[in-house]
Amino acid sequence: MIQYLLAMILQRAPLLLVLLGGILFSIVRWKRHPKVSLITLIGLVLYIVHFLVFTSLTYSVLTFRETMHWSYAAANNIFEVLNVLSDISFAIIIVLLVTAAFVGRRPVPATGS
Amino acid sequence: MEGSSKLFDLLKNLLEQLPTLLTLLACMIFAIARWKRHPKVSLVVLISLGYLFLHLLVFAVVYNWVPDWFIHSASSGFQPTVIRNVYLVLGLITNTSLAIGLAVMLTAIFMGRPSSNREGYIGGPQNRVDPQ
Repeated sequence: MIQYLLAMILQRAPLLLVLLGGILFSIVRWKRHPKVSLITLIGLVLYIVHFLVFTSLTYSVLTFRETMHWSYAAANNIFEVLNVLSDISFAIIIVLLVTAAFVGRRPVPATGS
Repeated sequence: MEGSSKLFDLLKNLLEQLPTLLTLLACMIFAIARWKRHPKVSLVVLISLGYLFLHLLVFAVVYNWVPDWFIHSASSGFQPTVIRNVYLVLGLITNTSLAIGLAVMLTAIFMGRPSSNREGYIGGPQNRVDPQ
């Protein structure tokens, strides 16, 4: 399990670095923009939780397939359900980040006459 | 025959990603609707969302065809190693590309925000009366 998780972390190292950088930056900016930082933080932490949960679930399905003698078709069906669930949670993260981008902004004053 | 099977796999893969694709499109429409109020932020958010949308489409195609090219061209003794390495490298490329899209989104979140909590709202520094 640990070996599999480490391989997955290695694959996602650039993404995890950006996520951790974003989390740190949100904490640094907390006093200036608490609401924006909170929404960003929730989105980014959710992304890391999403990664850990779906990596563990994928590993569990692979393990159960061997120990419980599931067919490839059965395991594939479970993977498809997991993919859709993973995709829905990624969509939620996108919505949170886009909300954070626009929340608490004052409209730019109109220029010209 | 194999070609149509691959196309079916691609379609299935894209259908699995439909929630994200639809969300990205909805968020793009939202960013366009906010263009007049916050043109710079909307532009950066649109770039990020458009990039993520293309990322999903491109890598769905890449994962559908590219691993097979490498796996079929390898001799049977090396196939497990080739499979592991191909997926490791593809995973790294995919995640680096995704990281770029998210970094642009994080830039959009914090760009153009006033340095003080009070600034930027009505009654902020732009509305202050100059004491002189």
